[in-house]
Amino acid sequence: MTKRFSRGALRALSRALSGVLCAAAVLGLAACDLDLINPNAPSEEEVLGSSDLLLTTAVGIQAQYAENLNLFLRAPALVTDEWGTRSLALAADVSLVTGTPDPAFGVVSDPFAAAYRIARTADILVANAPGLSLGAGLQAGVTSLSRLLKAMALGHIYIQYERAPVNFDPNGAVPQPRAVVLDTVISILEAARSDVATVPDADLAGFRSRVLGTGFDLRNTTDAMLARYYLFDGRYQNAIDAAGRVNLGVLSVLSYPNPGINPVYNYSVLAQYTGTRKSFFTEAQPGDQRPAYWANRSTGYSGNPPTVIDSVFAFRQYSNRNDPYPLYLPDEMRLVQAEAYTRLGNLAQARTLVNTVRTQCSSALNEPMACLPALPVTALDTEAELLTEILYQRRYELYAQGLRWEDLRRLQQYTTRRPSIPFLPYPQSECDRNPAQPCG
Amino acid sequence: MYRTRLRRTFGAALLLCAGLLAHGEAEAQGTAYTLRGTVVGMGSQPAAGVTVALRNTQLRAVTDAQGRYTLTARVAPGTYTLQFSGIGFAEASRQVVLGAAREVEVAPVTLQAGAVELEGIVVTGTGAPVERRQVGNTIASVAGEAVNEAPGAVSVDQALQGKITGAVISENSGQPGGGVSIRLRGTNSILGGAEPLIVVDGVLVDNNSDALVSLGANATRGGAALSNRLSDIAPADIERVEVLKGAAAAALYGSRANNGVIQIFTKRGRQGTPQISFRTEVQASETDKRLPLNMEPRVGTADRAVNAGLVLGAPIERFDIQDQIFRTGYGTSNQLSIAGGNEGTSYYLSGNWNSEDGIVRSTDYDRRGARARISQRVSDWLEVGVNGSYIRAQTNFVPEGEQTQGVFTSVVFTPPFFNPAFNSNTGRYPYNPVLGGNPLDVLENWIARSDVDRFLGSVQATATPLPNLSFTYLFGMDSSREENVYFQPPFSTGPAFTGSIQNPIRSIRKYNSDLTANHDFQLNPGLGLTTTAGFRYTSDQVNTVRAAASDLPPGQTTVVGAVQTASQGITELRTFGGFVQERVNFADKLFLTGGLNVEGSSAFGADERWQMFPRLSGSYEVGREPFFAEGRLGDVFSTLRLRAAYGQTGGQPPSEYLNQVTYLNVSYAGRPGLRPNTLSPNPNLRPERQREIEGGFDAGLFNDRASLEFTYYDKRTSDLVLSVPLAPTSGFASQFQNIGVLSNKGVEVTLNTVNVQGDDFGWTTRLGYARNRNRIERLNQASDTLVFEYLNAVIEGQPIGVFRGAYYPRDAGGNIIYPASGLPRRARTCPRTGCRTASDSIVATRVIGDPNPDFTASLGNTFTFRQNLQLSFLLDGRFGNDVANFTRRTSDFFGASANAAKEIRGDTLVGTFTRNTERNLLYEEFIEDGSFVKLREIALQFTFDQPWVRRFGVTEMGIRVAGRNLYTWTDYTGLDPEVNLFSASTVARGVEFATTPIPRTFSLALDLNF
Repeated sequence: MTKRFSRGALRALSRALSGVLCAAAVLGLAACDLDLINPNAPSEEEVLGSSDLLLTTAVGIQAQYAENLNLFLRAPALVTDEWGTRSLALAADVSLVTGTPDPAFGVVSDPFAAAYRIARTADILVANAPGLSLGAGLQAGVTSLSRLLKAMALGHIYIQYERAPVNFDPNGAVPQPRAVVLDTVISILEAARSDVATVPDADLAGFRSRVLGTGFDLRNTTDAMLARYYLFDGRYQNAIDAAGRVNLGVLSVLSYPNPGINPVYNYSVLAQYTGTRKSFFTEAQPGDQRPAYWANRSTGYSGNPPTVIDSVFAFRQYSNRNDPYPLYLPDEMRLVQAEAYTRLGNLAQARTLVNTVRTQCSSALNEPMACLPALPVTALDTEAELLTEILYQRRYELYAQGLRWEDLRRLQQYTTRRPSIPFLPYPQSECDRNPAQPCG
Repeated sequence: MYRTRLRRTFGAALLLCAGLLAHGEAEAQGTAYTLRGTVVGMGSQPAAGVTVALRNTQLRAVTDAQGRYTLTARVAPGTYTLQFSGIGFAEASRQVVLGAAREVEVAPVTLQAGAVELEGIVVTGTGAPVERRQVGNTIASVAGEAVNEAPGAVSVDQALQGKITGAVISENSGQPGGGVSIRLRGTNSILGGAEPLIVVDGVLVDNNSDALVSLGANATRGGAALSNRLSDIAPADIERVEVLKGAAAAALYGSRANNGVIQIFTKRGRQGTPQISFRTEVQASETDKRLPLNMEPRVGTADRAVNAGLVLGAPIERFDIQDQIFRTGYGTSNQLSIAGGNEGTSYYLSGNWNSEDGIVRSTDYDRRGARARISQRVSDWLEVGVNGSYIRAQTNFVPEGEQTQGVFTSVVFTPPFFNPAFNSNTGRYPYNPVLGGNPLDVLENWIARSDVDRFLGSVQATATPLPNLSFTYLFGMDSSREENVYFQPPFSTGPAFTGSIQNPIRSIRKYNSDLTANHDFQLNPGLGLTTTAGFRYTSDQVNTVRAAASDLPPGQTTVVGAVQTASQGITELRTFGGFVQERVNFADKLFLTGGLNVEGSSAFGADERWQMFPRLSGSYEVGREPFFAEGRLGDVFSTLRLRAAYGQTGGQPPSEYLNQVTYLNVSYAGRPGLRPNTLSPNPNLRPERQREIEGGFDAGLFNDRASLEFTYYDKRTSDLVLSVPLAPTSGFASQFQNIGVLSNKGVEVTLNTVNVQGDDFGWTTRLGYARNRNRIERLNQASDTLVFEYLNAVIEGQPIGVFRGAYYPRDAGGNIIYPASGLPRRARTCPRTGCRTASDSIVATRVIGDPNPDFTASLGNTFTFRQNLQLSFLLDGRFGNDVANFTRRTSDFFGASANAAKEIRGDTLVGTFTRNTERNLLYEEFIEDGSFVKLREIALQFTFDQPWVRRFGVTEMGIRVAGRNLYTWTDYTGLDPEVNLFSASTVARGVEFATTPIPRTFSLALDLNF
């Protein structure tokens, strides 16, 4: 009925009417305004108009990433040889192990949903931070952090899906090939880096005390991510440079003080869904200290389904609810450089870096240490040998960092090992609900 | 900019009004006449409450208790028709000639008992008072006596049960203080409320049933309370109730009328000597319903499952504590009213006190209220009035239903070897081996109280500057405060429990400001026009503050404790709109009405804020046509009216602020943070829109000794607000969108007959029949199944809220297939991906029942002997509705029921009933036919007005012996098929689970009129 009347005419009529009626509502009912604001929570308008609330939202975007971390790690760990499912695991989790996930499952759509929510928040923050009278340091920090988290979320999408949108759109985001996703991740990271590149540390003090979470190192993490994704993109010299800028003497972590809870602990330990696969122990080189750093061989559980996984083992890392999670591990930088040098033909440099990782026996940080003997030149004098060794080192050094799937894919020709599925299927919920009809 | 325009528009409006007045003033300078007369009914008894109207004007009066009326009219001299109409009487009219004499004495008029009420005045949804015969839609009205004298009814909605064809009125729980759900022509929403809009004397009042503390269903299940707020209005004050059942009738109520409208009119004073009435009633309520328990004096497996120390087959003592839970509840209700007035002033004052004990120990209801309604004629064209009532109600409940500490719940969950009696050795009530607490302890020591303070009032002014022009302004207010206390003493549910107290307070303020103008214009003798225009502004504000504490100090019963929490929620909804309506009267036989309501609501987005709700109706009194009246049909039909109506209404969305986005609290690394809501705002949200077409006829047969009303209706409610999941890449999870469609179609038939009409004996009958077919026409996706609570589902092509769940596997002959174990097992099916092995199969579900009745029917009979003795009864029935008997489900599973005894005796396999998780989830097993007929009311009334009565200073005395819900005919095996665990829930209906049955009530009332 209403459709037949033009909206403008109706509005004009209503305005005339409201004039008459309001005037006639003589008994002190001043408020005829129909634009009522929800008083129970701040509106978007309010948040984006207030520097305080905008900074609070920049705190919140870290929570959005930190709380959803497990959604990003789950599939890469379960489709590869990192995690196995336990008897209490949900059928959807088991389907990742057996390689039969239904596109309608949450395990398929959850990383998507989490990543694009973070991306949306980041875009809101980046668009609105400059409009408020924030100091240069605060504005740069908020913008850089937002971009970094968006890029990291999209990076997880790059690892898990064959195609994905790089932006969201109310009329439906259109999926792009992986290469476009990767380029987008890198360009966002570069923007994040340049946001704070010229800002002196002193100017970022306010940002650190008001916004940035305990243990989160913005500059190092940005460079580390750049190194990671430059490597994936084959931009080896860029990767070597970015990795070189990272201070390997500090950790950058997500922290989970109460009432927070480490989501890996929550999912794997508290809910008893997953554990470390047995092969993680049996396939380690003799003397490698890292399997025992990550997991506990003496506490085993039966696997699910037993035909695929006979047993899994308790975690040692993330075995307490407040344990922090490293955003990257320092030795990833050495391994990024080693791989890049290998690809560039500088095998000697690569060898040195690999042996540095192999022979680490002590650290001031909470990080895995192989404490293995250095390998002789003869064992690492071809590109193939080096890449095989790098894949091994990445497996034990970067356990449950969400990287194993991409590592196997990238270095696949050097291994017989296959993940249970090459990529997650495109989420059914996207196919059904996205107006752009990404599934045709 | 906006302000200037506003001022300009206002100015224009004032000019328009002034012009209209000046125009009328020039047209007719009338003479002020005063018409007086009396109206009598059967046996020459004065007929009170009869409306006397001067046809084709806005002028009307109502007769007082002596049947007298005075009508002041400023009209031009001439011949006029006076019309007399009252509920239960056949209409009558008299010609009066107004000439030189200003005081006109009209000869007494005698009204016959009549079943046809075409000329009665109706008000609701019509813009201004109008004769029923001119309205093309059905408006049900119920006379005040039928409400006032409903025995044992605490609330209006209880008193209306069985009296409105097409209304399904259910009492949700037998705990005191009401708790009633009303469905008018079916359920009209999915996520929104389904209860009708309630209007009291023009004031839009609150009738929420949102639980402040959950005492029936768990808080996670929609939070519906055991009571609803319609119980705050004392039935004794009610003069009349009008009911609009759908959009065709209710379009003028705009965006909140999808569920229909119930308008309650309270009593008013009338000219004459003060009428003092006093009524006192005492009542006793009880239930003889008991759950048959397992009283087998030997230990069974279900007992051992609770206490492993018991030896199977060893002797054991059993305890049935139901007689310690239920009791006979006594109550009294008292009402004193004084009404009267002179030519300028009328008043009605009343006070009432109602106090009753529930049939469950420790429950009671106490309501005290006072009402004053005063109206003053300021001049011969202006009348002003105030109307106010104050109510204070206190209810003591006990938890039931799903509450783990529910009293009746405990009976259902506990193998009856548990003896809950106070243990003097430990100094406390023993803990229930299944649930922890102790039902006797809960009855004795817990507090679950609701306190309501409520003011309902209005000021009103009616100006009649010309005989054919009137303006009515009303400002109404409903202000209430409800406070709950829920106290769970330390150690009451287990040795580690440190006690808990909740003390939520909800304040509600509702305002409405209405201006209505009405203009009659007789273009020529055969063509009359009635123009009505008006506007309405409403504001509903709700402020809920919750305080709670746990870890209570000993003896503490206020909110003090080591752990304290508080929270607050505020909502406001405003609507604002106006309407115009034109009624054309052709030759006093054919009436056409067209109207348009334009309304805005704060709940909708700016682009969809203003909505139009049109209506169109026609009424044709074919019985007045000479060709009909003089033809053969005229011999059968004394009157015949054909009517048809079309209209649209709206429904408010499930929450006030769905058009806006808010940020949510999160914290990260110990710092407070915010994040955008994953619920996407919908700035284009519109009201749920209903369109209804209805048509039918009203026929008077055998000289109006019988009347037959027939109506067919077709309602389609579209734009139903549903939560729609969004694509993950949108950055949101879901959005509320106008997407669903449902329909309700049905017929209503009402037959009223005056079977015998004599001075010594009279007999009247009312028979009502209604059937409604609800169908979900569209959901977001055709494959969607929205499940509400346990098993009520919303599925395309099915009626709303059908039961869906696991069922028995059956062979081709329909016989249940049992596995080798002989124990019940659910039917299985293969998942979408197919069955590779037998273990891949999953439990199959399908629609297994429908809680919506196939039809409802009611039968009322009244017998009058010599005017002094009256016997009446009312049967109220519901047919074809299924009920999920979850009381049976749980009492079987835990071995509390008599079925468990069968297992112990060896009459059946162990595990047939008890501790069988497979059967516990086999919902089909627990679906039963919930059809019932209840003897809702039966009353025997003696009226004495003989001279001996007057010796006590009384003009009339009545004594009434009555009963409510005295008997139920049903095949349902549980305690009561009418109650619902989820109380006023829109979709989740027909689930009975440890809910207090509705009591039967006996009452004895004394009426004294001075």
